[in-house]
Amino acid sequence: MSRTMRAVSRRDFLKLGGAGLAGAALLGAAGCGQSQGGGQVVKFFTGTAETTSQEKALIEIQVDRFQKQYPKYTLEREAVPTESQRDVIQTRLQSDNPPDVFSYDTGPGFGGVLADAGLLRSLEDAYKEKGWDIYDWAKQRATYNGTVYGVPVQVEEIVVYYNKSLVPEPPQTVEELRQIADDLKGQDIIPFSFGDQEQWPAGHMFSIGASNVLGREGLDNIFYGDGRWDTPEVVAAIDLIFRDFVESGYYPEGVNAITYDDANNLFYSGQAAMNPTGTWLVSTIVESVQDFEVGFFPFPSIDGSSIAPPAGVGAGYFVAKNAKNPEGAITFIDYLLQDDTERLSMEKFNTIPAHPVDTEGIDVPELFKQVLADLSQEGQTKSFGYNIDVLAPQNFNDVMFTGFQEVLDGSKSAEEQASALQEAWEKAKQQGNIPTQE
Amino acid sequence: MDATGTKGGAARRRRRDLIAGSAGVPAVRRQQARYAVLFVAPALLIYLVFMIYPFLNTIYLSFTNWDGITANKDWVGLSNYVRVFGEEAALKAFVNNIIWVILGTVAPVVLGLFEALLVWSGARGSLLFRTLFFLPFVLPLVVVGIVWQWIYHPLFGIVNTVLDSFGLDWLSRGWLADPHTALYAVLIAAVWGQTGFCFLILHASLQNVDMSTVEAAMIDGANWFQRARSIVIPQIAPQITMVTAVTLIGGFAVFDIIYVMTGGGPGNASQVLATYTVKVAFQQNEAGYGSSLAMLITILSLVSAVAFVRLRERQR
Repeated sequence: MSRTMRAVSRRDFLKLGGAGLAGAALLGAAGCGQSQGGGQVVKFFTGTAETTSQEKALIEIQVDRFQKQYPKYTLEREAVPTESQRDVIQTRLQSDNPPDVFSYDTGPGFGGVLADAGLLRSLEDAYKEKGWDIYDWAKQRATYNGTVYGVPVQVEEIVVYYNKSLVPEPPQTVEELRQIADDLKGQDIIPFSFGDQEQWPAGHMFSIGASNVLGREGLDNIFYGDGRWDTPEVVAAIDLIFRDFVESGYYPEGVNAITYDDANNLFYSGQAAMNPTGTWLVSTIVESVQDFEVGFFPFPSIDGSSIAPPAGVGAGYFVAKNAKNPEGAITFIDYLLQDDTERLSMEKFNTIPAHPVDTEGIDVPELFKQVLADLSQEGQTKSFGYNIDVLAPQNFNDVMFTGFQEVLDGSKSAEEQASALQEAWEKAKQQGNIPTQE
Repeated sequence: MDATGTKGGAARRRRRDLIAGSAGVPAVRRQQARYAVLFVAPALLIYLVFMIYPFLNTIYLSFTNWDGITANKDWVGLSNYVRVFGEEAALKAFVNNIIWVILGTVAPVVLGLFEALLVWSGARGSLLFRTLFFLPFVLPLVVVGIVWQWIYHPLFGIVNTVLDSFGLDWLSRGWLADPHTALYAVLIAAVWGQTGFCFLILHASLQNVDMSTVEAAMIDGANWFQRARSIVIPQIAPQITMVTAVTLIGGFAVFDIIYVMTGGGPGNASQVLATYTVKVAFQQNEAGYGSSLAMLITILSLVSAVAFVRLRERQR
C-alpha cells in the first residue's frame, strides 16, 4: 500500500483556518476565562494572594459569589504580583480602558500619589449613600487633601512570629532577645528569617524599631509636628536592627539577596526560629506550618523603650477616575464590606476588617484569635506605633527602601541613613507631601 | 559643414533621440518612485509613529519636570541634564554602565570567538560543543537571570555549595547581596547568556574563510594561534565588528537581567542607567528627569557605536 501526501490547497487552508478561528471563538464564548456573569462588566485589578489555595478562595468570594448575588454584573478579576501592580498602576489608570476598581496601598506614598494625579474618583458620596462604617483613623489613611478616595481593606500589625519549639518564652527586652538568638545560632538555627531583596521588608523592620524608641507620640510628632528622624534614639534603633543584628549573624547570610518568600520559607521549614512580619501572613502560616506551634510577640523594648508594635491600615479599595462602570465598582466594594462577606474573608484569609464586624461564632485558627485579642488592646493596655511606609510620602519611602539595603551591607552608617531620611522628609514637607491630621 | 549636413544632422538627431529618451526615463522613474513611496509608506508611518515621535517626544520631555502622571509639563531647560552629573546615584549608574559595557562587550566577543574557532577547527565533539555554546542564547535574559539567581543563592546556591565543599567557605557570600560583587555576579550571568550570540555569528562567518590560505599557513609551519590571529581573524573582521557593535549598544541599554537579579541593589550597587531610568521615571514619578537619562543612554550608545565602527573601518 502506498502512502501519498497531498499538498494543502489554498481553499483547504482557508477552510481549516476558518474552522480553527470559529472553534476558538466558540471556546471563548463558552467562557474558558475566569469571569462569567451578567451584562455589565466590572474590572477589578488586584495583587495576587500569598498561596494558590488562597488565590482560589479569593476568586470564589470576589468573583463567583459576587456574580451570584449580583447577576447583572460580570466581574473581571485581574491579579498580578504586588510589586508589578505598583509598576503598572499609573499607566493602567491613565489608559482608555482602566480598571473600574482596584486594591492598592493606602497612605500618601501610594494612594495619595494617585489622588494628587487626579486618577481616583472621590468616594465621599458612596460613603454617605452606602453608610460604610470604616473606623475614622483608618478612613484618614485613604483621605487626601480633605477628600476620601479609598476604602481601607484591613487592619494590620507587625509582630515577630516565633517557633514555640525553638523559642521557649517571648523576650521582653533586646538583651533577652539576644540571648535567645545566640542560643539559636549555637544550634545552627537562623534566629530571624528576614530577607530584604525587595527592599520594602526593611521598611517594616524600621517601623518596628522607630515605633519602639519613639512611641506613637514621638512618631506623631514627626508626622504632624516638628519631630526629626535623625535623633540619637532613631540612629540607635537603626544601628541595632540593620547593623548590629547583621554583624551578630542573626539574619540569613546575604540578607539583601533573600526574598520575602525565601525568608518566610526558612521560618515554615524550621530553619529559622523567628519571623518579623505582618499579621497578613497568619493564614499562610497556619496553612504552611504543620510541625510546630507558632506564637507571636511584639518586638521587645530597646534600652528601656516602650513596646509599640507598628499597626495600621494596609491596602484599600479605590475607584478609577475614568472607570467605565463606577456604579458597578461601588456595588462591588459594598459587597466586600457586607458582614457575611467579611466574616467569610476573616475565616478564609484571617484578615481584620477596618470596620466593626460581628465576629460571634466565627471559625478561625487560634493564632488569628490571638492577633484579634492583641489588636483589641489598642488604647487600653497597649499603644501601637505606625507602619511608616503607609504614612510616608514616596520620596521618603524610596530613601528608606534603598538606604536600608546599604546599611545592611555596611556601605552606609546608621547616622547617614537617619540624616538621609530627615533630608527626604524635609523635602516632602516643603512640597506638601506629608500626611495631615484631617 | 552646412547646417543640414550629414554629420551635423545625424549628431543633432542623436542628441534629439537622447533628449527624447531621457525625457521618457524620468517619467518611468517618477512612476516607480510613486510606487516605492506607496510601498514604503506603511512601514514609514509605523516607524514615524512608534520610533520617531516617541524619540522626539522624549527629547522634549527631558527638558521638562513632568511627573509622568499629571498634565503639567514645565520647561526646566538643561537642569535635568545638570542634575544627572551632580547626583550620586546617577553617577554610580553611569560608572556601572561603563564597566558593564567594557566587560560585557569584551568578554562575550572574546569567548564567542574562541569557542567558534575551537568548534570550527574540528575538535572532537564539535557538534556537542556547538549545541552547548549556543544553548544560552536560546534562553530569554529574564530566564537566565532567574536561573543564575538560584546559582548565586546565599543559602542553597551551587556556587557557595561548591566553594564550601572545596574548603573555600571563606569565599562564600551572598554574591548578589554584596555591593562589591553584585554587579560582577550579574555581569557573569549576562556574559554567559550573550556569548551564544557572538558564537553563532562568528561561527557562521568562519564558514567563508578561505581555506587555501589557512592550509598554506599550516604548510609554512604556523601554529593554531598564529593561524587564528594572522589568517582567520582578519578574514572575519567585519563580522567581529558587527557583533562587537551590537553587544556594545546592548550594553548601554541593559535592563532586564539586572532588574530581575538585583533590581539595581543592594542600595544602588548594581544600578545602571536603564534600571535607574525606570526607577526614576516610573517609581519616583520623575518622567522628565527619566527622559534625560534615557537620552543620555541613546547618546552614549550612538556615539560609542559610531566611534567603534569608524575606528574599525580606518584600521582596515
